[in-house]
Amino acid sequence: MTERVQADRLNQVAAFLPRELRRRIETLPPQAREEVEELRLRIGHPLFVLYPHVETPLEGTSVDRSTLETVLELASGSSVHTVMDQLRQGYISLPGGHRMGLCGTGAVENGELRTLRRVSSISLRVAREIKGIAGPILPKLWGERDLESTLILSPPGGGKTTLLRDMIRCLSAGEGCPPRRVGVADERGELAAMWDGLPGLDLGPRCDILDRCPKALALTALLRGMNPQVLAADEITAASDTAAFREAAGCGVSLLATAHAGSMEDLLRRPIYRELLSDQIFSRLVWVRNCRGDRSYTVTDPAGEPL
Amino acid sequence: MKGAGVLLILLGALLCAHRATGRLRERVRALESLEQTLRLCAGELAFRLTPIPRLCGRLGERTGAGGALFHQVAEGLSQDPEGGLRKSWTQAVDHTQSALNPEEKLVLTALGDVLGRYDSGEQVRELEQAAARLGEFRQTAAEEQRRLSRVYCALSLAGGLGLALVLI
Repeated sequence: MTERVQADRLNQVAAFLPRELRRRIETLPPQAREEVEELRLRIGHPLFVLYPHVETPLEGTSVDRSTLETVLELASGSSVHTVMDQLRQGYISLPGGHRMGLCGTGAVENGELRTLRRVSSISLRVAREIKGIAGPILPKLWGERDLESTLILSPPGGGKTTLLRDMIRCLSAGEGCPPRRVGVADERGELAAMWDGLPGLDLGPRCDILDRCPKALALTALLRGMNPQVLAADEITAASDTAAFREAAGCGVSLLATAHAGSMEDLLRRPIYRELLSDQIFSRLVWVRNCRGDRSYTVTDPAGEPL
Repeated sequence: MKGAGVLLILLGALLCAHRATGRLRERVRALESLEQTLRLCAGELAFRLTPIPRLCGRLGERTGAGGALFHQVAEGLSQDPEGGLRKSWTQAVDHTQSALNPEEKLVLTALGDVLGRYDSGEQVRELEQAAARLGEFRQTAAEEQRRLSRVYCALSLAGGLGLALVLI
């Protein structure tokens, strides 16, 4: 069932490709379709398909400028101006929680990226929803009375968002733990994939989602307006996010977040994370390891000692 | 009897003049409508960031050449989204703007390279420039229409009178 759902998700992403490439994706064997994590398009090269353990070219395909223009046009609904804010950050959120990353020539104005001209490569990441992966982890995150604030860590593409999504679902549904009201700051629209006010991905019944809004603003708004017991957000990247988490931590709310880091050294190398750890905002770390497609999860304390 | 015949010939001549100036009037009206619709389009993009397919649908409800253009684009996009906005736009200009001359059509066609592809500011600038250009064409066309209307009228009346004299 999960496999079929994943293959359907690939179809959702392939819908943003030109007809020719879409047909080639449709001819992939069922097993391969279930495992596809990303589709990568680079000018002058074939379409590459990223599986958990390998990135392989799709023979007989070629990507040129018009291919990328078509993908961008389909993804933006012929309206690039409606996704300009996202484009400036190098990605576009797609319906279904999928994500399109872009590279090209940046046009900078007043020190800020104004737009991307001459897009040269695009990656289409297929959103994954794997229910049940948080089950064995959640008991280790539970303190004396409540959920300990937890930071999920892995290198990009490691499966942080998938784990966070399932943790939110379990907490919100009370699956394997007491139910909690979860406020979700879904800045990129990847956690819930909201469409027309309804979540496209299951986050459980006690979940309040504020999407497409900067994390710092969303966390504050959720805290003030929705009385959450747990606050969750994907990818802490800016100092403003850290400040919002620090403020929320002082209000007796458990926090769930993700960050890019492959090791403790990586984590401590970045000032914003170092700050979060030294301030003891997070008392549990979950490390996601991706070994040839098999993901494993290790829970440690902030010093990196396994629990 | 002869008087009635002369009158009929003169009326026929005036009708010919009216039809000859009809195309000129149609062109002026088309340019006026397009200019207004492009300005509305620019306003929607500037203040509401409306997605292009929805914007085309909305502007396509207007009457006149501008409405017809956007209606055709909306149809093209819904029938062949993969074909892209540029293709739908170019086809719509070709299909709906028969009253315009090639230079005027070129101003419209060029918008197909901009709409939906850049941030709203750039699109608005291009739309306003195109509207201003069409406005200039409209003024020229209106002057031409006034001048040629008089010429056609005078020529038709002279021709009608001449014919009447020959026939009498």
